Amino acid sequence: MSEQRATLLIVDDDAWFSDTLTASLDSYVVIRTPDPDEVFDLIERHHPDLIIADVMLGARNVFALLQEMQSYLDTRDIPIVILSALAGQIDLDDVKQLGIQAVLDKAEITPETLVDCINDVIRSKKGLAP
Amino acid sequence: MSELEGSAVAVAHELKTPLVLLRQLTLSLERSDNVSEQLEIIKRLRFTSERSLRLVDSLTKTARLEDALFELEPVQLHTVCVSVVDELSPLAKAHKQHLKLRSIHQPLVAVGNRELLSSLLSGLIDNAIQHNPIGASVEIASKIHHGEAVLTVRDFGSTIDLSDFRALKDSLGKRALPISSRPMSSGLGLFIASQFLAAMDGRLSVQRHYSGGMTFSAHLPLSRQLSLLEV
Repeated sequence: MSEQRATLLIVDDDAWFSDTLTASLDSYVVIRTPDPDEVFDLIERHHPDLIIADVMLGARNVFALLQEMQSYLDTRDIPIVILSALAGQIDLDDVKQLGIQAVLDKAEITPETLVDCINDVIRSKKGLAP
Repeated sequence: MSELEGSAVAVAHELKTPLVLLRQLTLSLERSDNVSEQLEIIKRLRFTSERSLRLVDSLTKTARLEDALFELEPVQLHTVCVSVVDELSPLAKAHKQHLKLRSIHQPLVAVGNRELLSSLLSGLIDNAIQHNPIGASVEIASKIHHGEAVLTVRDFGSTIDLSDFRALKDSLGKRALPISSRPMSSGLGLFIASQFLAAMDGRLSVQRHYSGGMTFSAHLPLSRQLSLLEV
């Protein structure tokens, strides 16, 4: 029996960038939204194994959303990967308490490095060695 | 951070966004073996590079403003709107959006510079497309209001927090530092629009909508050259 595919939730308001990401993540079930207000509803409906989020989202930045997620028992353990053009300005140690497991630069990622990172984070969540 | 450093950071951030997308689209193109997908990616590459070029062009014009290279003349706002809407409609369509033009008062002749007005309107519409949801329209209107010629561009993006809105209003025309309220934008585009309007004795204003989205308005002096009304 094949292993169940992991579900990823992409939160990014750049539709075209989001399209290119989704195309390179065909080994996962991918859910997308540009709107941080939809995130809790999508979590409830799809139970994502991991969230990939940009920092700047419409009228809000992602950190307010992540703080809210940390305040709920049911959402605080969902691992977050930040994917942003501002990655160079974010220190992972400063944001780990928001559930962020990795910070990737949009200007540097390739499909392969993104998939490697996702797999590492999911394996780590399951208690497996990366 | 000095004003120069702040501007350099804003320019760098603003140019990085389309460059990041261009790189990602190129990677997708390399991987794709589907012709219709390749054609769609190529179209997006073209629109994204054109967007970057418009920004660079506007930045160049901003640098030339002080040399007074842009003469003021009577300009038919409807003509400018039609031309810019024609140019940007394919971009809106590629984002599954629609540009809706309403010329409420016609003929409407303002005192301005056609080239600056076209760049300013392009920038505002471009900004609106980036913040608008799929399927929505960007509404462009020209009208007379309180004795001024006014060009408005409305998007239907997320509702902006009041505190962010106040910060945005306060910063209009003063600086091009990061504005958290309109991400994907360092505020540079709005700063440029304000500079263009100031060079034409005009000003930029902004309103938010309870139902979502923002309206940016360019206010310009009305022309009193009635003979041009039939142009």
